[in-house]
Amino acid sequence: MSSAARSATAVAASSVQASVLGKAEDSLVGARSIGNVLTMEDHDDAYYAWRQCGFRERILVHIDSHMDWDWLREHDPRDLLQAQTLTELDAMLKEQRRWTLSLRDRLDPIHIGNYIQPALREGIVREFYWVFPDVAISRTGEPSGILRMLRRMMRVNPSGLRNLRLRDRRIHFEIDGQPVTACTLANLPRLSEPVLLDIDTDFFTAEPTEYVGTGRSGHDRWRQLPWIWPEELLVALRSKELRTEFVTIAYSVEGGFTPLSYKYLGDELAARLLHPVLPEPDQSISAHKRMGAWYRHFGFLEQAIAEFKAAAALAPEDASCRFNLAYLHDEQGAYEEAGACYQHAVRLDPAYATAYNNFGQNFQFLSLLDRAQAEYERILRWDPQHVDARLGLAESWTQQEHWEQAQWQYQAVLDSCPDHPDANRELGRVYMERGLWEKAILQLKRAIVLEPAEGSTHARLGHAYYALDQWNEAMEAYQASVRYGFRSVSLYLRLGGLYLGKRALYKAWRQYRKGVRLAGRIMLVFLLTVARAVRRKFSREFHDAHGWHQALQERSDPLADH
Amino acid sequence: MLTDGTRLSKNEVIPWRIIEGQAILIDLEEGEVVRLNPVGAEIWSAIDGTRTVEDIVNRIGYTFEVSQRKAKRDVHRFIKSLLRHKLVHAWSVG
Repeated sequence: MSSAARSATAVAASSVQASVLGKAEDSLVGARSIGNVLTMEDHDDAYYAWRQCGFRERILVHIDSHMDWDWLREHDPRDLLQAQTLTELDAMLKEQRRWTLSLRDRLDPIHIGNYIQPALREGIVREFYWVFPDVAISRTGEPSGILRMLRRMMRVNPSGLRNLRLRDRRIHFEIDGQPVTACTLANLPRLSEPVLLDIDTDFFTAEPTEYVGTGRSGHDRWRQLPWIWPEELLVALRSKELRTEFVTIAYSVEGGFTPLSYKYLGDELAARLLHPVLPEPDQSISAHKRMGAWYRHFGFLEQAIAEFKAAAALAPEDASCRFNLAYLHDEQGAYEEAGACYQHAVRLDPAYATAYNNFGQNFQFLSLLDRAQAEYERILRWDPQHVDARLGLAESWTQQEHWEQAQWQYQAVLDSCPDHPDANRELGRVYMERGLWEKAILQLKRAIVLEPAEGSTHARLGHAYYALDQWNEAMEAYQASVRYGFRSVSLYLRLGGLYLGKRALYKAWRQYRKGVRLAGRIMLVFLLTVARAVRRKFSREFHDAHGWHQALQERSDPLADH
Repeated sequence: MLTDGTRLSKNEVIPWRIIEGQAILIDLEEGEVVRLNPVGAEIWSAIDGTRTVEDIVNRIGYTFEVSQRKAKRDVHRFIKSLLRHKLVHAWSVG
């Protein structure tokens, strides 16, 4: 982290109390220094900061790739009985997201995906503007993907989200009676009063949905360039004459939203909010990192290394320089140097040892398993004890049904971390696939001791007992699986069969019925996914033909004047 | 075995309420909302831990003006369904 960014965070920590007393003065964003800039990993910390500062009835401008809005299941199912009429009861039941009918499910906690809802509900925020990235705009210039998402939310909770309409390229709607506007940066209206400004670092690195996995960075996500840089964001906000006295910035690396190689953009943004004209040496550090990113994007590794080394010389305590250098050295095959840079980065900031310091999970999700394995192997070259990378490697072997390799990797995870519940559970599955039922049962029982409420482990244990014709034990395990909320067609069918064997005909019929219904739902989801994929394919071809990828690159190429 | 002398009581953990003549029960174990039509709601209301199945049959026959035979058949069938769902407990006296 650069010196200016560090001081921004320090200022925030010391001046939160000043905000409580209402002494902090608001400033024009990008023009004057903003003292209260709070950086955080998890975005829901913003809610706790606003609460601690005692903000009331404020306008929130939330700049993020994600809306971070969802309904909390706030109601006890017994509240349904407060309905006065059957019509009212039906209306309440339609708000599926608000009710959890089974008390087995705990009430949803506040998390990164829903923290704005309690802020609205508690009166911290009275009006909410969500600024989404320009890449969410479709070829017709309309935010059709965002509209689709909001319509889905409306279907789930029709009384909670109302009056959805598109006007002047802004989406207007009401959530629980409070006004919400979703728009791009260019369409953000001028606001007459100081706002709470809340920014996610993943806003800089958003890619359009149709590019996920094929991205304009190609399949090489390490080469990705942000679609907008921090100073460009601030220029845009300044042009809107946006004023604030309190800014929250989330890195959102955990979960894979912001690539770790660009976590520093959150720090740079904090520094630029504190110092609209960035002082030396921070200006030079930022320029070297920018150049490094551009050189990396175009494949000039030597030059990229030189730029990040220059940045590291100016900011010896900046972990991001070391981390980016680690990748670049690794690409050149200088594995020892890469490992040393990675270890240096982790010493400076232990958060760089995260499970999200690579794109393995992204590639795994896209079934690009060779690429996922290359990512995990890279991290294991840097740190052979990295449990998450080892686990990822084991999972990718499992996905390829290479059971022996998977077993070896899971056992390696358990050698260094014997109480890892996922490794115990998955090793149990590998034993099952290899027909080693007794071993599987032992491993799954161990996983259940470590994580008793994981329904899928109980289901697998049931399958293992079933294979050994131990019907009573299988039934007990399946029943536990259902109790912990796990649902699968094979589970229902096998449980139905077990009830049938005990001549419990009614119970058997109920399980078969549940199995058939679930199979129907799965088929429906499958067909919808296929239809969506076909539509997306045509949409992507249209995009490519119009070459906006090229237009983005032409927008501001610092290589041109360097 | 359900007999005329069997006594019934509601499962105490099931929250319920009569709304517009229907009994609305929330089965928290199964995660379901159970609706009983007006006849079912009348039977549900009659189950109080003291009445026997015969008492309930008589009450339903009187309230809905149906023959004793039809009332007995329907009440027995319905109570068996409640027992299967563990919404009520049954025990025999003597």
